[in-house]
This record gives sequence, structure tokens and C-alpha cells, in this order.
Amino acid sequence: MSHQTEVSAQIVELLSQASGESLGSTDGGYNFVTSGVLDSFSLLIFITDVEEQFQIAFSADELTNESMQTIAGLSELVVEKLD
Amino acid sequence: MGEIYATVHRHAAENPHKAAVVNEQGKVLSYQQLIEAVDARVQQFSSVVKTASSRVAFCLHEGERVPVIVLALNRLGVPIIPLNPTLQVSQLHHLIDAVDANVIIAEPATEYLFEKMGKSLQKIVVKPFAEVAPPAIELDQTAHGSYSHDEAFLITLSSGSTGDPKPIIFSEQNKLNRARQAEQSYQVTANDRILCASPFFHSLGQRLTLLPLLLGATLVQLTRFTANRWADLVERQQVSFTIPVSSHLHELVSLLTEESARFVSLRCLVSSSAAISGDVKQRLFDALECDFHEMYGASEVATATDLNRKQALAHPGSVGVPCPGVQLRIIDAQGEQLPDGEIGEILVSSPLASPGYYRLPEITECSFIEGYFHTGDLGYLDSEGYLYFVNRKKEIIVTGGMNIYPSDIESVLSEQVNVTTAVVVGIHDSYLGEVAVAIVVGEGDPRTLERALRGCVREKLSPYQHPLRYFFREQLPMTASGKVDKMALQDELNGLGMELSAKLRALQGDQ
Repeated sequence: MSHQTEVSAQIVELLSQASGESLGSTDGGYNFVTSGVLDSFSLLIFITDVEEQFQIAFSADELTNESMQTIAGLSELVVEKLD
Repeated sequence: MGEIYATVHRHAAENPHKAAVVNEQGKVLSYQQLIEAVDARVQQFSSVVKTASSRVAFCLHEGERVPVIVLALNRLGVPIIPLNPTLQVSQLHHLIDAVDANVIIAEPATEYLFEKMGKSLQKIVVKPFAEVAPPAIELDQTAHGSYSHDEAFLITLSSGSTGDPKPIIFSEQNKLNRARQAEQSYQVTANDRILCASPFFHSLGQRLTLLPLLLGATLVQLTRFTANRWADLVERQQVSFTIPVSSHLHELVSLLTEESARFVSLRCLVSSSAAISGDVKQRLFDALECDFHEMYGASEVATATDLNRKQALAHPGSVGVPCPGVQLRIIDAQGEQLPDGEIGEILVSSPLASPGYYRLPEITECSFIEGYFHTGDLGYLDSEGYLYFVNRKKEIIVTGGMNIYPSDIESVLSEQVNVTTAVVVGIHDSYLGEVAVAIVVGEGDPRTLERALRGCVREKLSPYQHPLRYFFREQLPMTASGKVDKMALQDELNGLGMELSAKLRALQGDQ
């Protein structure tokens, strides 16, 4: 399993945890903001959970790009920060 | 039979094919179909729900089922207690005890919560509409119980309290009068299409659900809010009136101002729950032609003040003048009335006030004194009678329109073995109004402790109750009386100018 795939799987798990829905089969293009799967509070917690899990911190600027609303985009940013 | 059901039944007789409820997918329930669905539920519930003794809590995700069940219970004349379906089992257990509920209406998605509870409750699981047969016999429209003047029609639990929940009682007359107030203040009529984007366990969701049905208007339901979904639904369903909480309004500002042509159906928007900044207000005024109101109030007394567009321009920073029948007073710590311009606690006397808190006579007596409700908010009046909200005196934190009681979170954090003291305060946030943060004195590595605390909070509290940040300290500032000086902590943290919702805004494309 590539590093990116592994990160992506962990993000899907955190997303499932935050939303209370099983999102195991979700693909990388899944938009967790516009889908409405998370309310505002859950979205904030989800981002904090991702930061905590990978011991990284996002800046607001990094999250403005629309691609960050998808699992693939967010995973890519996490991998970039871990490298 | 409740008066609310009787009113909707009358609309169904006069205007059977008019759309009563429309959901996000465009599914329509006409008034006739609504009453048929309600009567089917009445028949389903009547074997379990007994008029004289039942106290019915329901735990449902939003959808057209909610108004149907509310009307069915109103027809049966029993108190309704809506619960937040995102709460944890222990929280629900506590709330059910606080309101003496003995019947629970759940859906397949929330049923497991009550199985885990191990409590002896009569349970009704509601099936989708298609599986509910219409009443086999014509129901007697005059049958079933009714509510006396101050009797509970609805009990609202404004927090997911594990500490001391304060269940607010609403009589049926309260709700009818509150709908009339909205009708008069915002000139809402049967021709309006009214959007409800708030959950029914929240008093705003109750108002936006009952108002259209009492008027014979159309209720448009949005079950999960995102700015785009809201905008699409308003445009598609030609929504003419709604009351967004201020945090929703902040999320909507870009769309409302940059794509205003999509929202020409809007006749009136009312901002609630927290003040919005002058800058946001100006942007909305410049872009939208619709009527605009702001309000100040509390669940216990409903809307106390109203500020329209013209008044907002002439009295920047104000939350408005008292609504008809409402009287305001500003008092100091000794209870003396203060002159104009001086800051003190805001007291509200309103004909729409709740009869009090359920089974809490002492707290009711302390909160409603000589006909005035002590809001716990600080503010002042100007010489023209305009109210200015300054701060919240009570510890309650209002985040995105949701009430958080710090003690609920503090008790969960304090359960961790390595925590010596944990306090929770609200700090200012331009988007959510306030956000909760935790300040912890504990032992061991702060990072490990934070991880444990987050895990514990996730397990026991609803998402809106999670502290957004944890601060670790060796000691906490104390007041002269030996209590943690939360005000000092709040001032210090507010001084850092953190915008903890900035990442949320960035993700939602509204920086």
C-alpha cells in the first residue's frame, strides 16, 4: 500500500468516525464539505482529528483551495506535510 | 384535540391540495396528505400513548416525519419532548429522566440508542410513510385530550446536559402566540414559502415548522445545512421567508451577495441567535432588496426585540426595540434599575414567556421574578429605547446558535485520571459567535493528555459540545472567593485574537 493510499484510508476512517456514517467505499473525489455529511461542528472536529492523527497543523490558507474538500486533495496535503 | 392540529385540519379542509410540506428532494405533502399521514400516526400511536399519563420524547433526524409526529401527538393531547439525535446514550438517559418521559419515538437510525440505555421505556419505532397504512376507520375529529392553559404542550431541552438540564415548558398557547408574533412582526401570510433549516429540538426549528402550518403556508425543509444546499433550495422552491441562525448567515454571505439574482423570491430574512457585524449587514443590505430583521431573545421569552433594515442603519450595533407587549429593564448587581446608557443585566417581561422549567420550581422562581425573566445577558438601553447587547453574564456559551453549558464538558474532562482541574470558557468567534475551549491543569505529557481528553469527549458529548482547543496550565487564576476566575481566562484568551473557526471558513470557501 502506498503512503498516499494509507493516509487516505486513515482519513476515510476519521471521516466515518466524525459523520457516524460508514464511508469505507468512498472514492478520493468524494467532497466531504458539499455532500453535507458533516455539519459545521463535525467538520471542525474532523480537521482537528486529522491534524492530531498525523501530528501536523494546517493553516487556513492551505485549506482554501477547493481540492481540500476532497479526500484525495486532503490526503495529498497531509503526505506533503509528512514528507 | 390540540388547537394546532385543529388549525392544520381546517387548512386541509379549506385547501386540501395546497403544498403543506416540501422536502429537499422536492417531495410534496399536500395539506390533505399531511392530515392523512397524521391520522395514520394517531392510530399507530394510540395503543401506546395514553392521553392522561404519557410523556412522549422523540429522537428523530429531521424530515417530513417530524411535523407529522408533532401534529399526531398534539392531536392526542400529550406533551412532546424533542431530543437531539446526535447526543450520546448517557446524555439521552439523563434528559429522559429530567423530563419523566415514559414513551420514546425513535426511527431505525436512533433505535439502538434506547436499546443500549437499558431503561424501561415504551418504544415506538416509526416506519417510512409508505409502510404506514391510512386509518382503517374515520377518526373522530373531536376525540382525544387537550391542553389546559399552562400545561406543557412541548418541553425543550436546550442543551445535551449531563449536569443540570433545564427543561423549558411551553404551553400550546405559548406556541400559538409566538407564531402570531412572527406573523405580525414579519407580515408572514399563507402565501409564504417558509424555509426551516434548524432542527426541531431547537426552539427556532419549532417556530419555523409550526409557523407555516398554522398559517396555511408551505413549509420547505432542509435537513442538513450547507450554504450551497440552502441556496439551491431557496432558489428551486422559491422560498420567501426564513430565519437563519447568524452562523448560517455568515456562511451564506458570499452566495447571497455575489449571486443575489438567485434569491429574488426572498421577501424577508430574519437573523437570529447572535448579533451579526455591521460589515456583514451592510454587504447584505447592498446586495439584497428583501426586508431584513434582527432579533434579540431567549427560548424562555421568545423574541424580545426587533430591528428592521431602516432602524439598523440609524442605530448601528443595536438589537432593536421591544416587540409589542414586551417590556425591558436593565438592573445592576443589587437589582436596582439603571438609567439609559448604563450596562447591566437585561430583564424581559413578555406575554409570550414560558410558564417555567419542568419540575424545577426553585430555579423557575429565581429566573422569573415579578414577571421579568432574568436573561443573564448584559446590555443597555439608549434614550430612544433601543437595546444594545454587550455580553453574556451567565456562563452559557452560544456557538452557532447552540447552547453549551460548560459544566457538561467540565464534568466529562474531569473524569480523566490525570486531570486535576478542567474549566471550559467561551471565546469570541466572528463566525460562530462563541466557541468553547478547555483549560486544563493535569499531570503527564500534555499531548498524551489532550489525545485522551479528545477521545473521552468524542465518546460522551455531541459534536457541538467539543472544545475546539485545549490549553494546559500549571495553575489557574482564582477569584477572591476562591473560584476559578473564568472571566480572567476568557479575557486572556480573547486577547490572543484566535479565530478558531478560520479553518472551517477556509474549507467552506468563506474566508
